[in-house]
Amino acid sequence: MRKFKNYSLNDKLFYGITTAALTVVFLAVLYPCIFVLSASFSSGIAVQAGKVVLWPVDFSLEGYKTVFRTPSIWLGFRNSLFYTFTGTALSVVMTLTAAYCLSRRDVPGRNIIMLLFTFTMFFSGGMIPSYLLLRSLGMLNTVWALIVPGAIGVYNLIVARTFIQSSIPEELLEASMMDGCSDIMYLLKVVLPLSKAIIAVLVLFYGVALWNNYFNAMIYLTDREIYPLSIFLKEILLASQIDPSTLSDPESATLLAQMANVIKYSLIVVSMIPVLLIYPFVQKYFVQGVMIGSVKG
Amino acid sequence: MKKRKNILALLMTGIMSISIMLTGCGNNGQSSQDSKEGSSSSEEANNSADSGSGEEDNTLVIALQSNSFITDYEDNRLTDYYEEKLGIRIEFILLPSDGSELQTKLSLMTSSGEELPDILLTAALKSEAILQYGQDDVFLPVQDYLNNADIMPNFNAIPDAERTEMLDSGTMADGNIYSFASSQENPWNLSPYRYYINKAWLDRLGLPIPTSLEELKEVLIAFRDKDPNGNGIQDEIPVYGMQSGTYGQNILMAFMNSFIFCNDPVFSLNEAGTEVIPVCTTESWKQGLLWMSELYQEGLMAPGIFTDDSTQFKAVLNAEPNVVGLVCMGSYGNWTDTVNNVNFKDMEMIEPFTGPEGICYTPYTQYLSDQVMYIFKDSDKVDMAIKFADENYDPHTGLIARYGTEEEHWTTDPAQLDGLTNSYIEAGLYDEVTMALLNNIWSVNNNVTWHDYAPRYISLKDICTLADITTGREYDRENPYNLMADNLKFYNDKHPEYTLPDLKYTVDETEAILDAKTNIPVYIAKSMAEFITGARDLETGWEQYLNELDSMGLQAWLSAAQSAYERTGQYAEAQK
Repeated sequence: MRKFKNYSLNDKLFYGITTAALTVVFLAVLYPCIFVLSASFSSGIAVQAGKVVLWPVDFSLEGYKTVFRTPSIWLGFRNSLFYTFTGTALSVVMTLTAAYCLSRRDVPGRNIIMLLFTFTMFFSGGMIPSYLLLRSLGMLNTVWALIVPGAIGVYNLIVARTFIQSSIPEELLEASMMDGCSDIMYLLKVVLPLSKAIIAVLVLFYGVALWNNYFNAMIYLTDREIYPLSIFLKEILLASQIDPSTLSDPESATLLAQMANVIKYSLIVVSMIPVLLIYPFVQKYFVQGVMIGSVKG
Repeated sequence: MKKRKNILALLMTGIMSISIMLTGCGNNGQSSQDSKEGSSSSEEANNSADSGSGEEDNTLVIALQSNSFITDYEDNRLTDYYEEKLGIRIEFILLPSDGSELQTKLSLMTSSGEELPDILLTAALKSEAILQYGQDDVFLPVQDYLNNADIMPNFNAIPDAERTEMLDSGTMADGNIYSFASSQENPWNLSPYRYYINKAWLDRLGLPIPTSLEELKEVLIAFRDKDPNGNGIQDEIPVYGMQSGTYGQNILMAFMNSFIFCNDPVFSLNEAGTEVIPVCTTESWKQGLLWMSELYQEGLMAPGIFTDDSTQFKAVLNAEPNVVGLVCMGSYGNWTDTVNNVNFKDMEMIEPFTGPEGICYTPYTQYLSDQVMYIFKDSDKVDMAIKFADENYDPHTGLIARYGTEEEHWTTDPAQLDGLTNSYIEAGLYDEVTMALLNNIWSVNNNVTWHDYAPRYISLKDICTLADITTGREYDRENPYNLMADNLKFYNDKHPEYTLPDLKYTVDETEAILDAKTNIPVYIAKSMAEFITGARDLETGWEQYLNELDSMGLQAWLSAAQSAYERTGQYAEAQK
């Protein structure tokens, strides 16, 4: 590790500017998070009056109390956890099996299969055909509508395939075959234990995407019992923004907005907790996994 | 090997460019969609024929815009009430609470050819969308039912004037009515541009309440120079507002009405009520801009008016000490926790100002019912749906649907009403309270109502003789709620005899003016800011401003607006 003062002028300049730029970006990303957290612990009146800048004003837990008293929040939380766990499990299993097969050089026609997969990255049927398809499959307004479509993300598939291809030497396959290992045993006993990093990455990618999934739920679901948290969150955020030009009674809407404003920030914090809890555990694999997948691709 | 890769790349580029051509070219996309709709509608017919026999007869399927405050729709007192009273079973299809998402989902449902519900309840559709669905045979025209007193007795029991308004507001450019209206006129919302002046400062400086723009300017200069909030710093903002506000915060529009009447920055009506005029191009408009730019040059108007959003707006209003001299808005809720707000205690609501030509108007919008319920044309339970619609116009049902359970959330019991009063009654406009609200269910989680997504009629008198005694809203002289009657006195008649009603364009007109309708209001708002702040000179820039408006299609929009206006009942009346 060289000392900073020993760097050449060019390097000093480069590091100095990079550090400054990254610090600015970091602060820009950090500030909204701190604001939301502070606002969630402040009184609704202070938030609305714009008095919260950095730290909580008039410390209050009213927002959290209201959030936890709202039954639809619990319902949404439960559903979102379900979608995230089952969806992630399904996605990871399907992605890994596909990635493993496609990483084997002895699979006939694997380039064509890969091309077909890649094709869907750039072209899709669009909203209406997807809707028609799900309707014909009888998946509309069921939990499967959120889990099955998009169970394999092609980008993730490519990352996983490249990882397996590049980090697990082919000699291992030959050696295990020599010892009488079957294809499936090779996957389970050799490939999977060596792919922890990529599994962690996949779990995080899929998990976060499923947790935040909003659009599919909005389009495909009509039953409140199976709505994920994101839908309820949107409803409450919406009640806090009023567009009086479309209302005949804006005064009542203003009353609503005041209520919604109190719980808005607490709700955002609550909905972020699961992702924040998981992230530190996955993070150490994260950089490693994606880097291997992309650099050697 | 390399060659193969090249061919592959070539192939991919080819496919991509074809697909871009397909999606990019509007006409292609349209025609393929048309043919899809055609085939799906025949499929739809098959579907409904299949399901018709199997289903129970008394099930009404309602697609409903959801609301975050309603915890349960199935296990819901209003649902039970309808089911019991009408002898039906209600099934729900819940739609997003966001209006634009609701429309996305609705268009998916209608174009995918799936079996549609019987009824749609939403306030999110604008007249262009209603007309489109009507002409596409998705919604059922209902005027024959509405006008038949045997089929819809409750609707036909509504007083003539209001019923006519409800019918008019639902009549689309093709002459059909596809919707059921909700009418709950409240004078408070018709003239939201209410001025509040800092009475505490006026008193401290010994000045009277200004009534004309001339007097106002003197007061504002005193506000600027004499440190009325007494903190030794010149931090006073004589005039504050928010140009981007949608509920009376745009003080520029309020000032403009001391020069010429306008409730919309683009169009207004001539005196006789026969002709639509582009108000933003008139000499009076220019005079208004000139007056405001003088105010701005003198430092009497805050630059924040043009840039602030609602968070900043509230922050300025609630600053300590109070820095605002004159402001304008629809809801005093902008002063958070209004009743206890120290800044709000300084303020007093005043009448609009008289301009140099003696004009004293306020932006006033005619009451317009909301269109809230539609029947799908393919429904095989039209009779039941009509019965459901009419039930909602029953006064008692209307109260249950809006306010909740009788005696728990509201009451009409004379014993309980005794001694209650409200702003209108105190002002001598009405005699006595006819109903009292006991418990607030509007902004708390509940499973008592559907949060007001249904047709309804509540008369002006009912609204004005309502005593709200839910916590924190009780009437008291010091309470801001007594402004209701003052508002009626100060603002409700400050408009010309004829004001521009809501215009219903035909499908062709809508298409022709689409660009103008989105671009022109934005351009006018921008130009107002530029002229007032002096970024653009009013004398030299005015001609160019007019030319620019014309090139954006103002004339075409004007002629469409004129023909749309000539279809309204008000035009016929003005002609006489």
